[in-house]
Amino acid sequence: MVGSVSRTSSPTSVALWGLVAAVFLWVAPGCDSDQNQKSGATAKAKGAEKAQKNQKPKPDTFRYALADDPETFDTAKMSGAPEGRVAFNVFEGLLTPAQTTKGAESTEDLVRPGVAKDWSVSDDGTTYTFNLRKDAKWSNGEPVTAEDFVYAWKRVLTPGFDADYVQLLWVLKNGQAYSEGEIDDFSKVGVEAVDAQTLKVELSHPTPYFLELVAFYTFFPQPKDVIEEHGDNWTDSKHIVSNGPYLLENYTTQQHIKLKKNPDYWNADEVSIPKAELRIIKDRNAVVNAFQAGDLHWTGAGLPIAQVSSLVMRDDYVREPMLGTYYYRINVTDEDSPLANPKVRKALSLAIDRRSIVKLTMKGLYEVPKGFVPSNLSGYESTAETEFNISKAKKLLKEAGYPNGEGFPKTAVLYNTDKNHKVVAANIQNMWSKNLGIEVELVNTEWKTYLERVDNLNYEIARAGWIGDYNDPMTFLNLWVTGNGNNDTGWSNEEYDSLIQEAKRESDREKRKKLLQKAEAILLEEGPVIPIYEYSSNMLLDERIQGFKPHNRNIHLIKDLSFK
Amino acid sequence: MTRYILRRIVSSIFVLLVIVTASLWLTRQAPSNPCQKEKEANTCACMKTFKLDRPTFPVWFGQAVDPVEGCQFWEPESSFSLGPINMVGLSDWGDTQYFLYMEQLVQGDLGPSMRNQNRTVNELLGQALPYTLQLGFQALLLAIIIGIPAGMFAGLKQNTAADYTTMTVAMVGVAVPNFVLGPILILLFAKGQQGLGWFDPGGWDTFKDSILPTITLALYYAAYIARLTRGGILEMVRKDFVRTARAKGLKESTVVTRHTLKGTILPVVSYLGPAFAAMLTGSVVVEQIFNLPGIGTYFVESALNRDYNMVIGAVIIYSSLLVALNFVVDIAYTMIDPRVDYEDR
Repeated sequence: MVGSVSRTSSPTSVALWGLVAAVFLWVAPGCDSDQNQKSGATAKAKGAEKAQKNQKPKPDTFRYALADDPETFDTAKMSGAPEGRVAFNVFEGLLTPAQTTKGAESTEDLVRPGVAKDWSVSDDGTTYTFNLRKDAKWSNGEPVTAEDFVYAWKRVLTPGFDADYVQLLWVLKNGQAYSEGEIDDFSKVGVEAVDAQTLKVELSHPTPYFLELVAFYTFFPQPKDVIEEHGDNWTDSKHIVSNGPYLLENYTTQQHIKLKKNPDYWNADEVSIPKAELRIIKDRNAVVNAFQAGDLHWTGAGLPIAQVSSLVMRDDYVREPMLGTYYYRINVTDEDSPLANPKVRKALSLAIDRRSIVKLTMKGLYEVPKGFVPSNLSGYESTAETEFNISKAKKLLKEAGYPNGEGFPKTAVLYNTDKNHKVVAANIQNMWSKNLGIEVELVNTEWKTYLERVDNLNYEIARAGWIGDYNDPMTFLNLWVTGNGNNDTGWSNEEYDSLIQEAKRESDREKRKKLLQKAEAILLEEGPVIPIYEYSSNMLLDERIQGFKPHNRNIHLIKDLSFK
Repeated sequence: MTRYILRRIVSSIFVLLVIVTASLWLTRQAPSNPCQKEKEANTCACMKTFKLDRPTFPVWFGQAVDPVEGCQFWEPESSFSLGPINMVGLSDWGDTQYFLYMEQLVQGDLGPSMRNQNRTVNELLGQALPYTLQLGFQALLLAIIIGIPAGMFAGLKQNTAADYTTMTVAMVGVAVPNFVLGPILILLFAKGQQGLGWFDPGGWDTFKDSILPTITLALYYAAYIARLTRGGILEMVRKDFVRTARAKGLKESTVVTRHTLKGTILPVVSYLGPAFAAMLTGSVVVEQIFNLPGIGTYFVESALNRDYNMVIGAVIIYSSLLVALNFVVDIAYTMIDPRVDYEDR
């Protein structure tokens, strides 16, 4: 027996070692070829960069983090923040967002010339005429003309075209009717190329924030010939034609987007940094690690809450106000629920100590809100204010038939998975329990489930956030109009609707502001929303970077930056 | 043997078919869809672009697709209802999501990504797969290089201090999860941290960037292989043929390599297949910690984003790897152990 095993051992062991060798051989060339093909070039580039770093000259590449892969580079379709980080540098609209929103008093302060060198507005505020500069060029050498804007806007408004932000273009005369297929004739829509350098725009109502809209990517021009030639693939880095201060050089999903300076940009002389690398890093802790390792000059927005108390002590910590409100929304549609009663909703709002949430729980990272419209929005201030008043809250709750919370059914607070949301919800749960005697349970779901439940009004109270699209109260207040797709509370108030409608038609800015303030007061009194805090952007920024000024929509153009 | 291989191939295809069908159904059961966004967007146009405005299968219960306000969805030319069961006419079967997907799949096309617009799943996973494979291979290799010698060392010096030390380290290796080990390694060895500053904390540009992730992924398996090897050695050294080999005066090294090791290695080899599969599919966490551009990240993200095509694409790749590796291991058995035989007799 022993002998027989011993004799057969020879062929078996050959097979065994053969297998081990095969594994080695299989792996070794795999590694090598992979390294050579994939990383040889980048390794060399990296080595060169490192050598430069040692000599301490100015870096030639500005590196910063993107929180996710952009969904698209097509400005007509896009809607998110990572997309914007690319779009604002690679393309240019009629106007460009101002370098900072600090100290801005009106829309004119929020923009600066882009493809348009100047513009004029009619007295009633509904007709805008833009004069385009002659030296604005596409990267294929063609001039940027008024027709390119008409083409882009038409594309966005085309019924069935997958444009996330199509509703922004409904400010154009007949824009909504065309995009909903009610009229077929695009010449009836309020945009016209008078000649190659003149674009005339007619609006459906006076829109004081229109200049800021025009500086937004949905309104950017698009190269007709390129799009018609390559279809949806026109944004591939080998086809894309753009007109911004930087050009898209290369995009590797999950890794990086590389930009290089556009030598043909009309203002190329003023652009200081030759290259940029946007590194896609999804995990916030990994972003901070990369920054600390010197791989990034800017973290982009959002630091991990767990590390934040040590990060805010750093010299390179930067904070800027953000045009956004963190709030709780209440489903008012269930007649049997106490939440259908405005007094209950108001009581819930009054029982929240926002100062404690912001200062203690959120470690002072955010701001105590005044109203629903953030206080950093220029040219507007909320007249109604959120307050913390337990006795008033108790009184209201008593009037509603729930003295000291007696008989108040157990209510669910819905939030999506996030440490921030969890901490805030637990705090509010505690405050409502202590101050009003109301017990709520916390329900946590992942993002998409949360979205669907909110969208279908399948919740009682839900955490929410709203980031404004432009510096005008309308972006915050239009939400709550009856039937708005983002209302998601079922709340409807005739007086509110008519105030908003009136404000839309009003061309006098002071009167308009009064109307909006009145509307906001109703919103807060009726309480389908409970503001909790105002967002701010918390970031780390290399101290060698110059020209980085606070912007409440976190728009920072690389062309404005330079290395010290 | 040929018959066996053919039979395995046919059954593998059947297994994959079941997996694809089940994943297609499961992805559609998750709440929400790829087109739903925080701010009300053009959901209707998006649903139509990806043909999500039609039934998943030709037969379904209740509502086929959640309606979108003001949106005209796809309508079959004919349909039947039998109580709660609905069905489209046979002529329209080809227009249901399942058949449209299958039609693409047989051509080797995994469809467009529903999140990264204008990119196909083939393209995205094709870019990501080499990273995941290389990470898996490196980790497997490292696990073998560390695990087998360590296990032999401990087994041959049973109940000595060397044995206890090695096995304690292995126990720690098995016990520490990679989401703890990864950050610890970053803290100790990455730039910008308090430690030695040898490596970049994330990304994958050069081979050097893959070292920390490889160690993180490999350590558990190295420890497990060490324990397996040690167990095998302990069993083998007590066998009569080993005693005989020693008795006839063979050198200790010859006894170990020629007589003991081959019996020891069998459980290890049978573990390698599942272990390698687990490394490939289990690199999800490591990829996230070190920000690596592999498949794992896509798998997790796309499930959260409801990028149906991407989820199913990743599942197909993972399950194909699993099926293929199990197959390889079964064949390898017959080569190592002649007692194993798959022939029908």
